[in-house]
Amino acid sequence: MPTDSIVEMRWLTRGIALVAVMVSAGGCFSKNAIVVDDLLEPLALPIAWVPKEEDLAAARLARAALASDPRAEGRSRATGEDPRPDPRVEGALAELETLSEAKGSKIDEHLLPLAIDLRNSTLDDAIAYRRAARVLENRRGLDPRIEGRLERAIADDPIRLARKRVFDGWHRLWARTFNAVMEPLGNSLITGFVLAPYQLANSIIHYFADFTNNEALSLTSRQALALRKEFLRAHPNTQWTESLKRKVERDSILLERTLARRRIRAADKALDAASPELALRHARGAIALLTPHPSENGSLRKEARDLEDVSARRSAEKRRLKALSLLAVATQPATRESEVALSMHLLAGPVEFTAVEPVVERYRAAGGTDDRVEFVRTLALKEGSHEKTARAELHRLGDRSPFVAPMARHARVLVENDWQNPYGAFVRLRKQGVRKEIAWRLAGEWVNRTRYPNIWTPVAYLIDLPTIALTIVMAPIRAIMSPWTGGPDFQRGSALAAYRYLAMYPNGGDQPPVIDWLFDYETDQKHWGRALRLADFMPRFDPSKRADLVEKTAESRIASVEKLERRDNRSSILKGAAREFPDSEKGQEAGMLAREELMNASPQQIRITRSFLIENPTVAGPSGVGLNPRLLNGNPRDGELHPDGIVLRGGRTLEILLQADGKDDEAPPDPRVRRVSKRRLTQLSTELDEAVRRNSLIDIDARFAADANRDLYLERASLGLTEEADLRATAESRFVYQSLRERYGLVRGRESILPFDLVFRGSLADFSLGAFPRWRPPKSTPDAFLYR
Amino acid sequence: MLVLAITGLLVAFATPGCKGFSKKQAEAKYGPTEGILEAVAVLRRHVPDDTYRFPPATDFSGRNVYRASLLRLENLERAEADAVRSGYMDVVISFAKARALERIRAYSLASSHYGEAERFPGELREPARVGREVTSRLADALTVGMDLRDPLADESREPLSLDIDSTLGDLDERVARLSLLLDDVRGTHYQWIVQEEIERADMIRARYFEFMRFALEDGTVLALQQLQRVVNRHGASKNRLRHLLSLGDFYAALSREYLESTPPESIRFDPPRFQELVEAALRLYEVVASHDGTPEKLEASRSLEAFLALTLSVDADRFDR
Repeated sequence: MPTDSIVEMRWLTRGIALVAVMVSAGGCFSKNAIVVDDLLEPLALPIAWVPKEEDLAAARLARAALASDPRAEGRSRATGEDPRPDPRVEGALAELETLSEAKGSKIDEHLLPLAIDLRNSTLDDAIAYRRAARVLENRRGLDPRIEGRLERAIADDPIRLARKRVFDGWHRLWARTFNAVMEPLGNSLITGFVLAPYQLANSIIHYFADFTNNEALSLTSRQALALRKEFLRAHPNTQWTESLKRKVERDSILLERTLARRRIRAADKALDAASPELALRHARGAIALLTPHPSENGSLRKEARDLEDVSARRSAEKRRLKALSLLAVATQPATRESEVALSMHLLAGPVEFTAVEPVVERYRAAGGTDDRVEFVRTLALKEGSHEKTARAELHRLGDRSPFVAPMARHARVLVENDWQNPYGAFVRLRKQGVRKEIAWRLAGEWVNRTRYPNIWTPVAYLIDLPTIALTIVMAPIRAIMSPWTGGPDFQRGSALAAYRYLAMYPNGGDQPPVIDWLFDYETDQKHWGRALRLADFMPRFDPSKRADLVEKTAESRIASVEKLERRDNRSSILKGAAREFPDSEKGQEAGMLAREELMNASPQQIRITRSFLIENPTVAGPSGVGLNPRLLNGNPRDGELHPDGIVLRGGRTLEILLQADGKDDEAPPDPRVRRVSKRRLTQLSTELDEAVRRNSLIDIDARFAADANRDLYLERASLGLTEEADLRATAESRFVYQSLRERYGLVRGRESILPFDLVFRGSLADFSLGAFPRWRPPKSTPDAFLYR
Repeated sequence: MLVLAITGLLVAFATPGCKGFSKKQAEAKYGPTEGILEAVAVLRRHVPDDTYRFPPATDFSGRNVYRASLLRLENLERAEADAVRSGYMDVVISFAKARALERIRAYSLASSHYGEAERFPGELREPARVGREVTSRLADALTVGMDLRDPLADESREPLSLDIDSTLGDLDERVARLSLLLDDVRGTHYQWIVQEEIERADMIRARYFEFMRFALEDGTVLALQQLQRVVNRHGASKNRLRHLLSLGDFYAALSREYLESTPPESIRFDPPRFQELVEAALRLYEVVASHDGTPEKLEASRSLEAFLALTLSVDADRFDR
């Protein structure tokens, strides 16, 4: 190999190595931080402020507005006439307008719209204010803050809102109609529209069937009705009064029909459930609802009356039977003596099988009936600790007809009552649970109900037949996916009955299998604590499995702490876990966490991230907290704030989280705690509040969720009232102020401007593939739940 | 012909016959008690029941089995008037009635019925003597101290005693007497009855403080302590969920009072204080609402919903929903 080339290669290698070293060193330099302790800058001195001419005029207007009197001379008006503002307010506004015209662009452009709005607010009439606000809103160059406020005031018009709710109802109907046609057409794309006629017909049948789920007055119409009533109450004499009254009357009749129909359905259900008293109450409730309009809803009233009759009859029959059950007929003379003797024996004390048998035999010899004999024997068996055998005997007796064996009815109660026979309940519920689970796995929710409960059930099932058939066919696939998809707990009732059995019969014959079943159930449900308690009742339980259960129980306790807001609750659970499982690894971890919780405890934990501080420089700057600007310049070599930012710890304590020495911003922060001056804290809280309010008026996504404790602390801080920290755990806030980028990422999701979504759908359930537009129905209003 | 006959038979069975059958079946189920043995056997089955920890049994008509048995025995007394007059059945009926009465808190009556039964020789004399003694001691213990009042009765017109020491002293005396009795009857069915009475005495004590909290210094704290005491002392009782519900209701009432006295829009409203009350009420309601198979579950879940509705009136920045 030529020597030169070797030399060349060496140089090249050295060069690459040097570059690599420089790059890596540069990387280290750029990433590794140093910690500086020069954290806070001196605060800006307050600047003396001299009011200008327009400020004084604005103050005069404000004074006049506050002093304006709706009963002042010249303000009274005839009905239908718009109210007039107080002449003093008008005068002050005119003065400001003249000044504005004279000074032109030299005065704040937002001052005049604010002044006009102030004048409008003195009209003391919501309708007139909204009208004036609409005029003001059309003005050019409005500040987004006042524009937003005006929009809200204009939108807060009950008539307008009622109209919008009615429109929502029609919009929803249109969306349903559109989707009922487009969805089947889109879904039949893959088959080249071969299946289109079937799918379309099916969809249309469902579309019409779905109308049976509608109520006489829809939710949106109920909202509209409430809004119109509210308007009429607030403004009884307006140009809209007559038409509104007509609408309210019309909808009130529909509302009565809706509510009465609900009561009638409830009465039907109660009758089916053999509760005629409840049915009677509902039927009478329905009749009372229909009373205000005697000439309307005739058929419904008749239905309610018929139900009332049936319920009353059944209720009377129930009462008669119950009264009959308390009667007693005399003992047969032939068996009287032996019955009395047997009764005395039973009442005298614990019934022993061998002791009672001769007395029973005497009774039988005198002509006593078998059912009584069997009942007495089950009693003796039960009290002789043969609870399992006694239960079997009661079962046998309970199966007999009450015609020939009156004691069968008593035996049946003892067998069927969940409290009297918890083991029987356990067996019954377990079987029922298994049956229900199989049915659910096979046919999903169809086993419980159809989509159209108001249609005659066979027809309702017929409409859903294709979907039900498909659900049954796809059952194996759902079964395969079930470990991930989960499902209802069908054995919850059985577990309850099993626990009752353990409590009522601590020495019951079926204890071991019941405990085994419960252990498996709790383990499946991942209730480790309960499984551990059951394991302690299981003889020869594997110690290693027990140790594993202890670990899992402690771990689940630790995991539950993460969901808790209050530090005292967290601490109490962690301490409990550490005390209960001191020898386990997780128990020790719980102890360490409890210690950490104690060490880190502070009255408040309100954090402001670095990104938020960069996004809102007024909060970080000298008019706010006054952070050293070098901490936010992105250069760790002169000290840098950690991305976690700063933490308000309560009182006047501020924790500044710095990037740790020689570490990057992924590493845990290096905290520095400072007690700040009252003024600095006041400035910080005021600027923070101002920034959040301003951002939220400009951008709806910038709004933060409400937090009562955060607001209370900041309110007190802005008033300089934080000398004494509020140490209550319920006063603590763990709120984090994050920047928009931290909250939403680089791109914020926006709602499409199109009124429909384009849906591409492939379904394993029915092997369909399609694409179609789906019309978006209007969203429910936040108060919709109040109208259900 | 055969087809016609079968059809005729089917029609006959399917229409009024069937209806008559089901009516007869219902009447057979709800038919009268036939003789003394049926009434006694059913009652006797439930004598040893632990009614402190578990709800009392119900009979086939859904009534409390002790009350139903008592009513049947009284009806039987009338039906067997001749036998009773001759003293033939007296002992059994009196003794059985006493057993039923002691489970529905009618101790004095039970004692006198035991006394009746004790007069007769035979195997019931000794248990009747024991029963008479225990029920007399129970009745005596209940005469000490206050009891809960029927709000519509004349006695409710009298104001509650303001003398806490004497009221508490009396209730302590009652519990002491019952505790002594408990030691004597441990292992018998009277154990459950005595425990129920101790529980009731503790409840009365808590209610007293609840009623008196506006008249006592630190009344609210004392009432809370007493309600908490009932929950702690009777964790095994059948009424434990009821006690938790009472405590939850008390916290809910305090929250309402706080809202009324310090409206959320006022500057004196303290969110953490309201939060504490609300959290306590919600936690208790949630605990009770998570217990399947009890009527308290329904009550708690509805109370929870109603209480949450109350908090809707509080601004979101004053209370974290």
